Amino acid sequence: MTRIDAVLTDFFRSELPQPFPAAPGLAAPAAVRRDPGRRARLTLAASVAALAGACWLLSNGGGGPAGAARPGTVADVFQNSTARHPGATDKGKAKAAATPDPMHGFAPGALPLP
Amino acid sequence: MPTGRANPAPDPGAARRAEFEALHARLGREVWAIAYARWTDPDLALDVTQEAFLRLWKQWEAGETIENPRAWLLRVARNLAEDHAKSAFRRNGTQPPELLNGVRSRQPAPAEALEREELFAKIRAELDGLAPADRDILTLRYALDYDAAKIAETLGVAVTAVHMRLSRARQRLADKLGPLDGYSPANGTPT
Repeated sequence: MTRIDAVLTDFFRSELPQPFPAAPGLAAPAAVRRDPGRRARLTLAASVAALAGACWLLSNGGGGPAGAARPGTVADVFQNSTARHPGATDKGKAKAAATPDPMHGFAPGALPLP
Repeated sequence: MPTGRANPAPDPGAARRAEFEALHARLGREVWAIAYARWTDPDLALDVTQEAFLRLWKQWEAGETIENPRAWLLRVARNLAEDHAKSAFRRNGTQPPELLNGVRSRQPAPAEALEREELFAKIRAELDGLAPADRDILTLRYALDYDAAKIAETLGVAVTAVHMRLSRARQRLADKLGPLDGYSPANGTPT
């Protein structure tokens, strides 16, 4: 090979992309590699879900009858709050019974027009 | 009683994709060489190459049958390069800006590499003065190491014409570049 051949070979080979790119459209699937942290995140999510489920079970009495909260649990505190206190409910009923009927004395039917 | 799962049916899309990739691996450099010979711009040639293959893929997707993908790709690459020539002329005048620059900007290099870059810039400028057919032949010969018979087959010309044009182009470049005694070839290039 003469020197001009060597020069031209060097020149043209330096122009040729190295490595030559893959077929168009191949880059996208290659770029979508599996996320290395995906498994760890899934494990973490499952752990959090299990923990939340356990807390929920415990707060609901853990196997007792539905709606019946064990004393001292969070649900028990809510169920025995003022709004649902038996005494408060009785007071409300007594007040409703003492209130006179606002329609007392009126004849049933349409009101006479002036 | 068979318990194993049945083999899944071959995916025609995957088979076609594999065929496409094999075609790209086999012909990509050749298509690049044809596009490069038009503009002596490797990046533009690469864009043209990928575009030509994308168009081939779209033709396949549309159900078109292409009897000779190689000839089809070379023709499309040549047309795309010509189209770029026209659009570049409208945008920039006679030459696209990347060809008007002298030595291409590269990373700082030692003196030997700088001399090589200057020589390559000179070659690039001289190549622009050659006929496109001569650039085709030179690119296929030196970039892809094709012999005269394969160049002739690729370009659809006679072998004797390839010999004649190659010899003439080499001599012209040698005359223009002057003595190359100080040139040290890249590793692995015999002299």
